[in-house]
Amino acid sequence: MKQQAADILDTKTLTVQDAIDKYKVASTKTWWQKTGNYRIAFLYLLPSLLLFSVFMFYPMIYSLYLSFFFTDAQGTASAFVGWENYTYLFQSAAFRNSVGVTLLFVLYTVPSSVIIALFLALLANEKLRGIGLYRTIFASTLGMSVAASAVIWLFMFHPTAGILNAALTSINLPALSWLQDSTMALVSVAITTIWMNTGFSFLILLGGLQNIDEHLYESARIDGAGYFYRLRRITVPMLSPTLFFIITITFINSFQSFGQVDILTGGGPAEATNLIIYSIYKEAFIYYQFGPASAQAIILFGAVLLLTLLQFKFGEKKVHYQ
Amino acid sequence: MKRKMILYALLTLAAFVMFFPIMYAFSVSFMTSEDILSRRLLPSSPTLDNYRDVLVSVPILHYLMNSFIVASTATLGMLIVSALAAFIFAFIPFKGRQAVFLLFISTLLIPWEATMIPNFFTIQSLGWMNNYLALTIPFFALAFGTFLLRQHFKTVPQELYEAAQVEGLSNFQFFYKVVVPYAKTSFVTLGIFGFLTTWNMYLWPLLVTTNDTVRTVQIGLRRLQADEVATNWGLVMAGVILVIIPTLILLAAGQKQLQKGLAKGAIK
Amino acid sequence: MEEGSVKLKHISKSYDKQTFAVKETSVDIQPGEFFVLVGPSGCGKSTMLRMIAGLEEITAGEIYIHGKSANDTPPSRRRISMVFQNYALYPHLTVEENILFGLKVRKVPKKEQLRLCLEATDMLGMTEFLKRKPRELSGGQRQRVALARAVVSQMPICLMDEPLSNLDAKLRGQMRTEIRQLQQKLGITMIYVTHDQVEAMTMGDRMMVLKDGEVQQIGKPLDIYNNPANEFVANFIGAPPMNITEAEVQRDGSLRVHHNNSLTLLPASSNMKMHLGVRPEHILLTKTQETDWELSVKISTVEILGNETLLTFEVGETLWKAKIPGQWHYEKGQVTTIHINKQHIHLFDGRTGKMLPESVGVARKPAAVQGGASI
Repeated sequence: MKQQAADILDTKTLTVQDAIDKYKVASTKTWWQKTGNYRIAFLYLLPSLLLFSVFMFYPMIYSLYLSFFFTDAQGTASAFVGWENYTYLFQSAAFRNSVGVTLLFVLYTVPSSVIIALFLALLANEKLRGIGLYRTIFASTLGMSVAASAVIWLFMFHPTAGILNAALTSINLPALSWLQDSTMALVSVAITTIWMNTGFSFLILLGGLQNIDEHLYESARIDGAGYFYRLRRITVPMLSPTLFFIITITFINSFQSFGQVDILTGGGPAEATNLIIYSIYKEAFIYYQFGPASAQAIILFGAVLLLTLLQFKFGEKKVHYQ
Repeated sequence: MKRKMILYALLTLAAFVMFFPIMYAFSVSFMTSEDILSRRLLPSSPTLDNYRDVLVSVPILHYLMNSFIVASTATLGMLIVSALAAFIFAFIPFKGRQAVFLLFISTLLIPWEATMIPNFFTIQSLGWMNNYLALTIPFFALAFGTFLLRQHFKTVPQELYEAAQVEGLSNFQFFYKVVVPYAKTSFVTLGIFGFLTTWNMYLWPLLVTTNDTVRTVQIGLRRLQADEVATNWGLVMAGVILVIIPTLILLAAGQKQLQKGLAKGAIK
Repeated sequence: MEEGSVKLKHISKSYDKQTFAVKETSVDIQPGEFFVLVGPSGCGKSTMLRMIAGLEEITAGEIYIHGKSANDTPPSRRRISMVFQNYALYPHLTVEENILFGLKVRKVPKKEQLRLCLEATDMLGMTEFLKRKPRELSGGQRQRVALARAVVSQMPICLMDEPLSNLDAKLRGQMRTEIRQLQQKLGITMIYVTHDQVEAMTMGDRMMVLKDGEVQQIGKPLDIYNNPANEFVANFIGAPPMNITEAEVQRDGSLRVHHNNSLTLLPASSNMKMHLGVRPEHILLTKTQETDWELSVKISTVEILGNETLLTFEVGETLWKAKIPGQWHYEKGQVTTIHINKQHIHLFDGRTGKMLPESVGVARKPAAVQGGASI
C-alpha cells in the first residue's frame, strides 16, 4: 500500500534520497583527484604539526611522565615513584609558599594592569592634537624586554642610589627597602610587571576602542548621555570581548613571570618572590631535580588550563560580542 | 576647552609616569659616577664614556648581532609556517579540519614553561646547544600567529578564490599571488609582534646558551648587570639603552599597525 | 552537441541531504543564447550557476558543457568565464594586471595578451584607466573591468552572478544594454543570474524562474509574462505584480469576485476554489469595445508618477493596483468603476496555484497575438 501511494505522488514529494537514488551519477574522479585537498592540507600543515609535536605535545607528555619518576642529573628517568613527587610537593612548605606567592602576585598584577591600561587607552582614544605621541609613549613598554625593564627598575629600587628612595626622602617620607623586605619585594616585582604589561594591554584595548562604531556615540550624545553614562553603557559593553581577552592574557602572563624575578630578587628574600616558574627553573636547572620540577610544571599547566576554562565559562556570559 | 586642558594634563602626567623609567635610564647612561651617586635626574656634564666602556668591556655588539639573527630568523620562519597553516584553515576544506584546528587551539593552553624541561633535553640530544637552531626553530609554529593570519585571510572575499579557480590558478599560485599580497598588512603586524617577542626572549636563551657564541643581548644584559652592578650603573644603563633602541624604534614605527592588527586577530 | 552549449539533466543539489537547494532541474541552453536564471533570494539560482561553473558539487544528475559530461571537470577546464556580484577584482593589481591575470596564468603569449587587453578595454571604454587600482574606480568602472576580464578570456560561455546589483538604478539600466550588446557581439553563451525581473525580461532570450530550488517555468520572457505557469510566476514577473483575488464559483458556473460582479464561465466547473488574476496594466478606467467586465471599487491611494498613475483600491479582501497611462486625480475613498477585458484574466487553481488552462472558459487569444500590446 505504502509503495503505491509513493508512486502516485508527483515530483513535489521527491525526497533528496529519491533524487540521489534516481539520478546520481557515479563520479569519474580518481582516488588521487578526490584526495587533492587532503594532500595540500597535509603539506601546508606539516611544518606546524611537526613543530607542535616535537616542542609542545611530546614535551607535555614527557613532563607528565617525568613527574612520576626520579631522575639523575642528566634528566634520565631512573626510578618510578608514582605520586611521590606530587605528595612531596604538597607537603613541602617551599612549594606551598611558592603557590601562595604566585596567587598573591596574580592578585597584585592582573586587576591593576588592566585598569591602568584601560585608563590609558580611554585617554589616548580622545581626538586631540599630538595624540599619536602619547600613544607611542603609552605603548612603549611593549618594546621593552624583560631584562632591560628589570635592570632599570633594579636600579630605581636601589636602597641608596635609587631614585625612588631619593624621591621619598625629598618629600620627607621614610626610605623603603623595596627589594630587601619580604613583603615589599613582591610588591616591587609586581610594580615592574604591571609597568611591563601596560604597553601590550594598552595597545590592544586602544585597538578595541577604535573598533567601536562612532555612530553609537553620536546617537547617545543626541540623546544627551554624559561621558560616564556612555562609558558604562556603550564603551565597556562594546569593549568586553577585548577586555576579556586582555584579562586572560594578563593572567597567563603573570603566571609565567620569570625574568623580572631572576634579575630583581632571585626569588628572595627568604623565598618571598619565589614564583612558580622561578621555582621550577631552580628545581630543574640549579638543583637538577627534574622529577619534582616536572610535577610542578604539570601543576602549572593544570592551573593555567583551569583558569582559562573558568574564564571562558564565566567570562563568556558577560561578554558582548558584535 | 576646560575639558581639553584636563585631558592634556592627565595625558602628560600619565606619559611622564609611564616613560619615566626609560627616560631615566637614558639620562643615567650619560652620567658620570659622581652624578649617579648624588642621585641626580639629569647629567651635570653629559659623557659618552659609559657607551665606550660598555662596548669595550662586554661583547655587546656581538650579542646584538646574535639577537638580530635570532629575532629575524624566528620571525621569518613564524610568518611562513603560520601563513601556510592559516591558508588551509581559511581556504581548503577537508573532513577533520575542525579537529586539527582544535589541536592548534589546544597549544594555546600549554604554557612554554610547562614544556621547557623536556625541550631542554631535546635540544641537548639534537646537539643544538649554543646554536641558533635552538633559539629559532621551536618558535616557528605559533598558534596565535596562525589565528591572526587566518582572521585576515578570511577577509579575502570568497569570490576571489572562486575567480582564481575559474581562471585556473593552483592553490599555491592563489596563495602567493593573491592571499599574501591581499593580507600583507597582517604579515607586518605579526612580523613586528614576532620580532618583539623573540628579541625579548629571556628564559629560553638562558637555558640553551652556555657561552657567548649565540648568546642574545638579553642574557648579555643580565651578565652585565650581575658583573658590573656594584661598580658602574652608568655602564649598565648604557647597555640597557643599546638593547632597547632597536625594539623601541620598531615599535614606534609599527605601533598603528600593531594596534589595528592585533586587536583584530585577538577578538574575532 | 556544439561548443557553447550547456545541458542540465535532473540536476539536484542538497547540502544536508534533507532539503533541496536545487531540485531536479533539466534544461538545454543553446550556444549563443542569453539565458537568465531569475527568482527571489534563496531560490537556488546562484547555486545552480555555481554548479555550472564547477564551484559547487552536484548532488545528483548530470551536466554537459560543450556537449561533454562535465560533472567532474574542474572550473578552469570548463572553458567558461565568470563575472561576480562584487566583481572579484584583485585589489593589489592595476586594471591592466587584473584583466590579464587569467591570460598570464594560461601562459598566453605577451603580444597576444596586449592585443586582447586593448581590444577588450576599447570595447568597454576603459583604455584610459589601465594603470589605476580598483579602489580608484567607481562601481560602474569596476564592473567594466570585470566584464573586460571575461571578454579577454575568449571563453565560449560566460556566467554572471547578479553583476548589476551593486550599481545605482540609472547605471544599471545602461549596463543592461551594454552587457546584452556585448554578448551579441561576441556571440557567446551567457548564463545570467538575477533577482530583478526587469533584467530578466529585458536581457534574456529565455529565462528560468525559480522558487525554493524548484523550477517554476522556463521560456521566453514574453511567453512567461503572458502565460505565467502559476501564481508565483504571475506575481514575480511584472511590476507592480499581478493582482490576485480569491473567487467563488457559483452554482450556475459563474465566478464571483467580491460580492458585486460575476463573470460567466463555460462550461461550468465544479465548485472549485479559484484565484483570479489581472495585471495592473490591464485595468482600464473607461469602457471600450474591448472591455467586457466591470467592477465597482473604492480608491484607497493614488500615486501620480507623471506619465502614469498608480491607483490602489479594494477588491474584496485584497488590494489591487492599476497602472493607468496619464495623470488621474481621485480622492481617497472615491468609488469608481474599472473595466477589464476577459482575455486578460488569469485563473489559477486555488489549491495548488497552478494556472488553469483555457478549459475554464475565459477565452484567451494565443500568446503571440496578444504580445506587444501589454508590456
